Amino acid sequence: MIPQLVASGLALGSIYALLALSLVLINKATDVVNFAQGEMAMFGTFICFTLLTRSGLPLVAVLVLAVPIGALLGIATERIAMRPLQAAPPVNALIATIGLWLIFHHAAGWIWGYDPVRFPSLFSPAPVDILGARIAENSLGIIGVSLAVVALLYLFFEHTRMGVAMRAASMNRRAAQLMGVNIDRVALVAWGLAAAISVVSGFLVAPLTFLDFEMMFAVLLKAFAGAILGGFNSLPGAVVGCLVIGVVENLFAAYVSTAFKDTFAFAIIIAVLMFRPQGLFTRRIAKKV
Amino acid sequence: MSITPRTIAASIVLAILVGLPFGLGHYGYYILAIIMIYAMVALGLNVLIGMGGQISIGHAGFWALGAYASALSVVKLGLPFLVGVAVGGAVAAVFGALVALPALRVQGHYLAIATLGFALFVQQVLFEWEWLTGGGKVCSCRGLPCSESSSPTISATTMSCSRSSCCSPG
Repeated sequence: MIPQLVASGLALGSIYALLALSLVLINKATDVVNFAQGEMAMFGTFICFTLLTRSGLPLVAVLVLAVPIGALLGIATERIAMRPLQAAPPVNALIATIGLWLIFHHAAGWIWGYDPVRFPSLFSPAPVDILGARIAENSLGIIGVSLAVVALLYLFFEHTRMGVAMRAASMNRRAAQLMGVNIDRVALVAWGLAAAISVVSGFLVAPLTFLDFEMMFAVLLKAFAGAILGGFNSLPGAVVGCLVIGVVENLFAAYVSTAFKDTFAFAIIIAVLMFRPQGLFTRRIAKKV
Repeated sequence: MSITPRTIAASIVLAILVGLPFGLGHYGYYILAIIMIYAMVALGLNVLIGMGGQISIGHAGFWALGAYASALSVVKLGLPFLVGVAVGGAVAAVFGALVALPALRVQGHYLAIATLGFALFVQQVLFEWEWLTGGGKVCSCRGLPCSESSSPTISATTMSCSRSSCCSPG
């Protein structure tokens, strides 16, 4: 039983990890925590669903198209909603993302209806034998897609000019700007990338929970928990944190309580913030206030 | 007290507020009650964000706690309505003090995330604690916990309806 639980926990965790990557990406590039990330993922997934049902494209093609769809969504959001707030106090941007949350949330209900719809899965739930454990193909597929996204992201940050510029900007925005990094473009690319990644996560969640305008709230909370576990400032930390959350949550649901498995993420958030606010995997020099 | 444009404006608003309930139908009363309820929540947020500089986006959690505490103390304990309101405030205050303990250690974004988690926590506990709160019954608002305990007076009904909106993730 344990290997199956761990495998499906890793699958869940890798979905959370994609959303957490989006959160951390935007936070590193612009110092904004995007509370609307989950809703943007849901909105983008609905667009994908419309594309799927209207155009008759194969599911894999739609998954590939999810990336530009998400990127456009993110870029538009950054330009319209976030750019004007750049010079404003940080609370304004935070409240703006909560506003975006409500806008995407209710716009999706308004456009696509309030009833959950079935979203086709790329993978079958049939189990595969791996080293004696029977693991659902579904879990393996989700982990595979997430790994591919993480690998592409790694290549982007290590081997492209824009990626290096973004890393520089996240270390020291002012210095990066003086070295000729275009901060506005960094913010734009961060939002585009983050939204693209989060739509992929929505794409992976939807077959598990039905496509629903409320489907991302619990996922967002787990992504926050995982990102905080990883320090909220480290992309690998967020991934590892989310994988831990996914596995522990699955074990908790199986052996302790199904009803309170979402609450459990909250307990982790509070515990980490109280006892180790810098996260489990990063070391941070205390900020003077 | 000198008469400034501010006091004039305030007295005009006050006069309108006092005069408004006369001649409005049931729906009008409902809208007015909702306005006042939202205004109270905004006042609470103003204390926290405006004066305290602490971000809370989980205020709905306190709201729900107060709503349930007041409704339950009226229905299950048989307290008068106004006492119930005070009990609601007191219960929410106790939980506010509890949340303040971690809030002393974290700031800004992290506090916002923690309060969001708190709101979800409250919602789930209220939803699962069925023998006390009635779980998810009664309210037709989808997926939201509402107690079956709202008494058939106007005040309690408006509370139960506002409670449904307070439990929504926003």
